[in-house]
Amino acid sequence: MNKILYFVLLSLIFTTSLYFADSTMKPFVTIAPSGSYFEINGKPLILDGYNEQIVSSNLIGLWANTKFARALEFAGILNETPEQVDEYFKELHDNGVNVLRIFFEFAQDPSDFSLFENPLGTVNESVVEVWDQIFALAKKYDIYLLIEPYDPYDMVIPSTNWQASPFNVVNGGPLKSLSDGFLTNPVVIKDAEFRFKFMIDHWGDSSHILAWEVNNEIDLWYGSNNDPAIKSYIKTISDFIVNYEDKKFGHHHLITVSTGASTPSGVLADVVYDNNHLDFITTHLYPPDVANPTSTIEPALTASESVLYNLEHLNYSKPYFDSEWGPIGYPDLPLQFDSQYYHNICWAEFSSGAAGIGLRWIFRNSLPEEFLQTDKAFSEIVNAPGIDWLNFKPFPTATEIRVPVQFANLIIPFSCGDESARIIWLLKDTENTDIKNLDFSSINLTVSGFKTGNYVVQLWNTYTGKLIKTIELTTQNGNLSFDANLSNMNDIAIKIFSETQID
Amino acid sequence: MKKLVIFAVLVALVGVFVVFADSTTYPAYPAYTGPAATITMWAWTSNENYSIDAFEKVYPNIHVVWSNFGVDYTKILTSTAAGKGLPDVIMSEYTYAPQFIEYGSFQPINKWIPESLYLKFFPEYSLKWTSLDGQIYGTPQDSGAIVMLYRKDIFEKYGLTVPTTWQEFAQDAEKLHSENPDIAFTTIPNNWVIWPVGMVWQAGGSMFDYANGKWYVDFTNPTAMKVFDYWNNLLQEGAVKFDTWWTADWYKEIDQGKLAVIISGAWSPEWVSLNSPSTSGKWGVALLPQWDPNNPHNGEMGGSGFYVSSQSKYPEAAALFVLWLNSNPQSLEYLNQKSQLAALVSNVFTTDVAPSLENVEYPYFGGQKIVPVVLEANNQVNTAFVWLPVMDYVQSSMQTEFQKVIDGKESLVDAIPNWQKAVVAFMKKQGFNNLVVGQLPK
Repeated sequence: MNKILYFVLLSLIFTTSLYFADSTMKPFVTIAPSGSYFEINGKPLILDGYNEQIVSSNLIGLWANTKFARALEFAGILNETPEQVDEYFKELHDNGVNVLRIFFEFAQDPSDFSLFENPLGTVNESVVEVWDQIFALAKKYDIYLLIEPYDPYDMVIPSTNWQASPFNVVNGGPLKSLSDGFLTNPVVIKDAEFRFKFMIDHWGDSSHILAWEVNNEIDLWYGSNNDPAIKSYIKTISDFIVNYEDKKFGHHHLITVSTGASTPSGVLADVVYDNNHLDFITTHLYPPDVANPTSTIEPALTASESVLYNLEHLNYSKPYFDSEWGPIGYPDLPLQFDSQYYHNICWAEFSSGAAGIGLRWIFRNSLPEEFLQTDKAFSEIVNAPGIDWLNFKPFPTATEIRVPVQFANLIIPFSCGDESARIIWLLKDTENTDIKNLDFSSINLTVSGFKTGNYVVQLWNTYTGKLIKTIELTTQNGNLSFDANLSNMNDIAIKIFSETQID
Repeated sequence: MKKLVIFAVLVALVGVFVVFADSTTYPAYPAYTGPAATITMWAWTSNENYSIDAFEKVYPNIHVVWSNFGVDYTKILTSTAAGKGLPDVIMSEYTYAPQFIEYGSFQPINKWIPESLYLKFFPEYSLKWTSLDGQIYGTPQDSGAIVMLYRKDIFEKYGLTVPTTWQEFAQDAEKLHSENPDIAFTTIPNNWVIWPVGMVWQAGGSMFDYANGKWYVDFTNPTAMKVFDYWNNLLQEGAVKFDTWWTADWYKEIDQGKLAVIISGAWSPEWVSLNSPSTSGKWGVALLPQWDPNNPHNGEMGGSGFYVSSQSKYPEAAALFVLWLNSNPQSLEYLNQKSQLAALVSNVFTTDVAPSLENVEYPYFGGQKIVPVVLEANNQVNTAFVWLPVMDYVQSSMQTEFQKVIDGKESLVDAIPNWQKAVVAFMKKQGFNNLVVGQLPK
């Protein structure tokens, strides 16, 4: 009898604890049912954001309360206050930005004040203090963080940064160079686990983590020509995170990796696309016409092709987005050109099926208002009721748009969706001189491939985020035909969804 | 017992001084009395290894490990804040040394070598560039005496004469601008604070100073404003322009002959020959124009010293090294010939090394003997000059103000008081209570 009572009591305690664990469990970002977008708390999270750095001019103010504050003030670097960083986050939020990708540490130069540990195992508390503030601001302004543990791009510079790196054998580290088995070295693996454990212990219960990126550009700095090592590293670190977070929180954050190759091929493609340890994929977009842009049209086409390639290789089974792009070969582009280049790539990627706009590496001294205007308009358009993003499937549908023949070479269609909804972006080729000879005030468009039914067609201004026009149509043989006015516009966004669609 | 005493005295006598290799003009170097030491050094001068090898032969108990860390001043500050990470010896431009002294990155070395000995090797005014408040923190290496590099081909094509006064300089600038506005007569860097401060120094003035335990800040004193007013006028006429130096676009301008004159330190002839080989034979080196030719002055742009860090575990060894490095004739010869430093500030360089260089013809400069020009420029720098202990901030606040000038929001003349205001506010915030604003010491 006693044994039975004891068993009942134990069962009661167990189920009660499970109940309480569930009820206090914070929501984490998950993959939407369609498998193509993100979801938090039952709502879609369409990505709109940037890359940031813990020592950028936007975030440097967070160092004001660390022991390095005076040194950085003397160095002429710390010219911002924590309050100004707060204002920066508010500005991002107010303009629809909802994601920042940040390296956990910054190895920009031998100034190891921004390294997480040096030597390995000795934690720099100032970096931790900075991240405490970043997480507080992310929560306050509803911004999701994509975090990777290392900064290989800056670590690798041989004459200075690598000489000072705690991973360098000359400093007691395990490696002669970053390509000296970084992904397989047991000391590095232990360190990666240490870093993720540290992050999980300190901030892992946050809802504002988009995902853990197990490494940055894993194919470039230390994984070059070593696809088995990449695969092994992803599995080891992913398993570690999942096991540790599941044990600690009862669920875990999403896991991804980024590749330097914008369109992975060969064995690398197998490693990243067909990998059940990765919840989604991100690649970086630095082909020549993006890295050194001389046009605002060509980079948009390249960006779109890259998105289509990646989604096709994922078989549309997971979300994809470009987590780093920008004019790496020509920073500080003329602002007007840069703003258009930014605008076009954002829309090209999203309307080609990416899970959001590509995350720009800013490559400017500060974030221009013009970029934020694009972000705000984008946010307003995608978050307006209409398309059910949680179930939206971004199959390629640009070929299902017909424009009148006289505009065929002057209007470039980007589109994704399925038989019940579409997102379309029409870009005028403003660099084509023939454009001056045509009247764009009434362009009849035909979009095909719809299920029979009634649809809402919305035309949006991508610069203001305002709805220009709403048209209600019934399919004719699966087609929808309507007019668009592009006479005073460089582009237009079009949302099409079934009248019965639930947002 | 007596033998032992005699032996000990002999050892001591031999040990006190290291024989000076080639000269009887200068005293011997002190012996090293500490344990065997390996000292580390951050320096960006190329080919320091030649001097180091020679030093280690004289001081076999001291091993020097040199790393070229670039000009990473932030690392000096953050390592000081962290309480770890500084090497024993640090190279710094004179401009930034007071900042590091103030921040506690350097330590005085008078304790190891008496001031009187330093003064045998270095002119007093130059030793002050590595000193503060009567304490010596390092030794000066090269001169940043300002010189003028000019494109001889452009001068010839447009009938310009090498100016000897600032009035002639302005006339040349205006003439070139009227005849070919695509070529800038010269450019003012918007990202190098040493330039405007150096120009005021060259006019015999200063924008700040240190005396009797107080920092004096006066950016708008008459001499400084005379200089800024002069450049303001040329800017407004379009005869000169702002530019961001050390960038790819700037180097392109130099290569493409879009720039007729570069005003910079004595190290710049070597620098331009390395960075613009395609313009070989087209450049000349001249003294800077004067405000008063009867009373010539010069200032410095750049020039560096070697300092002993506050975290050095072997300060005696480090002090001996910085003394020897910048004063031993063999080392100076290496620094001149291997590290390409045209003008070194040690007295030893002037007496023992420079005479053999005066007749060297430089093909890059069309066979011009540039060393006499550089040495003369250096001789005109006959004043001590103290830099503010917050020069990084002086630079960043300058960039802010100069950007407003570039954007047409204010004139250069209007920017100067705003710049001073920002610097004073910063210094007050940093706890400089010994600040005198709006005047310089008499």
